[in-house]
Amino acid sequence: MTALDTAWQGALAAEHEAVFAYGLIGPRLASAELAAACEAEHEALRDATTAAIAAAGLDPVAPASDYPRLYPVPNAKAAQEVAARAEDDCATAWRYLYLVAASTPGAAAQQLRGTAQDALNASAVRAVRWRVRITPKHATRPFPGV
Amino acid sequence: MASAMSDLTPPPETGAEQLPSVPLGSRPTSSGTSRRWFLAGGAAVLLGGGAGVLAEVLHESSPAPAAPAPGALVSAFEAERVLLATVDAMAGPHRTREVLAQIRSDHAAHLHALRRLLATYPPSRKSPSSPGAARPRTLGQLRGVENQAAADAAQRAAALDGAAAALLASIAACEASHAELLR
Repeated sequence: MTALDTAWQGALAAEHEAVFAYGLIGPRLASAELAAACEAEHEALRDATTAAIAAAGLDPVAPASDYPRLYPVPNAKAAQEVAARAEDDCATAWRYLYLVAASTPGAAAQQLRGTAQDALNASAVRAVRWRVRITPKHATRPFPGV
Repeated sequence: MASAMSDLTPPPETGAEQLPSVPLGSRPTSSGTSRRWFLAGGAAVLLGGGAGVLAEVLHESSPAPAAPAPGALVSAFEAERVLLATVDAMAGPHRTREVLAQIRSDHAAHLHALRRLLATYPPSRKSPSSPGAARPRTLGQLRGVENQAAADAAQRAAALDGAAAALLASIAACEASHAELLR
């Protein structure tokens, strides 16, 4: 498996975990609308990434049966923090894919850069949507994914 | 062009001491491994500060290039300078000031990181003129400027390779998050 394949699978693993995280925190939130919207976006990205990896002749990484590091989620504030962390983790994974693709020659790597940039942007935006609720004075990060 | 290949080495299992020279990403082999990667990334940010770590990674992993800085990098630096001046020129009520302070801080970090990266190249004799964009007067207009900045940064990133490209990719994501903050 190449470094690019590994990074790509890492992005998929992060999306699996984000989908799981949103399923976990939804019931803890008074208003689950944002969580549901974020979950839907991650599900779509997970499915698209799974299909693309399979189409490239690779075996897409499967989701874990559980993600213990997400627990406990005792209240709404903790749920919001889990959501922000999940977005940061996805941003890290997609930025890493971008870095590897930007260091790899070939058309496939070039195409992946576009996918990774879009996903990195989307995670950064969703992270801000959560952090304005948690730490409104520090809602952004200067280098998402770092 | 600054080489970034040393960034692609998987991080060691032993801790965060060497993090500035390792990738800040994830690996899919198991949830435990993935967790360590994510923790390592988070630790790197905590230890060094996002901009500082990034600048050091770029600076220390880059041999002094003989060629001039890529145009995309130079124009990214100029664009950030304009964005910073744009935010500085805006004022507003208390809540607006809080939002603008965050955005300003991010642009300052971008400018710092880009300046550090450009310092690894031979000095250029002439810097390109800054883009003559109209100054926004409202947060809604600034939102449009940030959206455009995100698209421009992504386009510049696509013209670069390695760590420099990844730096601009992160900056693009940050500008996109600014637009969200200004909603």
